[in-house]
Amino acid sequence: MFNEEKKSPSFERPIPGQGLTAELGARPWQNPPEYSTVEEALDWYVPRLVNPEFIDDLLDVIETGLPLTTIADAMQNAGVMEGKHTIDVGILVMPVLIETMAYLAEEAGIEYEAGSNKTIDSDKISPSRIALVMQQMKDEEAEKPDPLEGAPIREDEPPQQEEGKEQPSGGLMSRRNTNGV
Amino acid sequence: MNVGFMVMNNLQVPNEDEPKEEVQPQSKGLLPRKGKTTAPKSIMDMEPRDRVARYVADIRKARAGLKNV
Repeated sequence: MFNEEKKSPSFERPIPGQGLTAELGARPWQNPPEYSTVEEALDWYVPRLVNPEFIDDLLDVIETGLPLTTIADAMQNAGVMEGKHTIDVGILVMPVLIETMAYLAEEAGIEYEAGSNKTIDSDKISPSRIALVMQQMKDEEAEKPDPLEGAPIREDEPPQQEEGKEQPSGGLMSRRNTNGV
Repeated sequence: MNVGFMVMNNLQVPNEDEPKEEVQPQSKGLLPRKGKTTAPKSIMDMEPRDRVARYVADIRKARAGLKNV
């Protein structure tokens, strides 16, 4: 029976395994890379990075705050897809691309986000910091003198007793109360 | 996973401030020890990651030069 509630499947996406249906070698990354060493790949990348037509767009992208690591990753991924180099060489050249972009940004006086440093939120206090401060407060509290401890004792004044009340004596020969207790 | 972050954090850039190997004074006896015969490595003899680290160090030095100007 046809179930009306069941949604019809979407055919607007590649079927599983479709990426493997092309003939072997039909894709650029399935062929031997054009540049097989780091130096060859850099000789291809660096002139493009410093190309006057490209550098303005690159600096605009850097100025938007996109991390340099992300830009370099996208660049090397594109190089792999074009069959320029292998992904290994792409990973190896990434630090040089990042440093070159940082150099270009600094030369142009643009602030950039390197993306290689962990961002630390100064407003967020770590639990370890809270525990440390609590411990310090406890230690300070323990070091403080007791306010009753340092009070002067006056010997000339007898201890005050409430009138009409005698303190019960706890000795063996103590007086008995009138009640006989 | 940011690949660039991992790559940059795992890069071991050579530090020029590292102490160099001490050169022992040559003996002047009849049978002095010969010095090291190994020639210094050229950059192409190094591992690719070491070469990349060297390139990065060079660019960083150039960046530092930009700041000092």
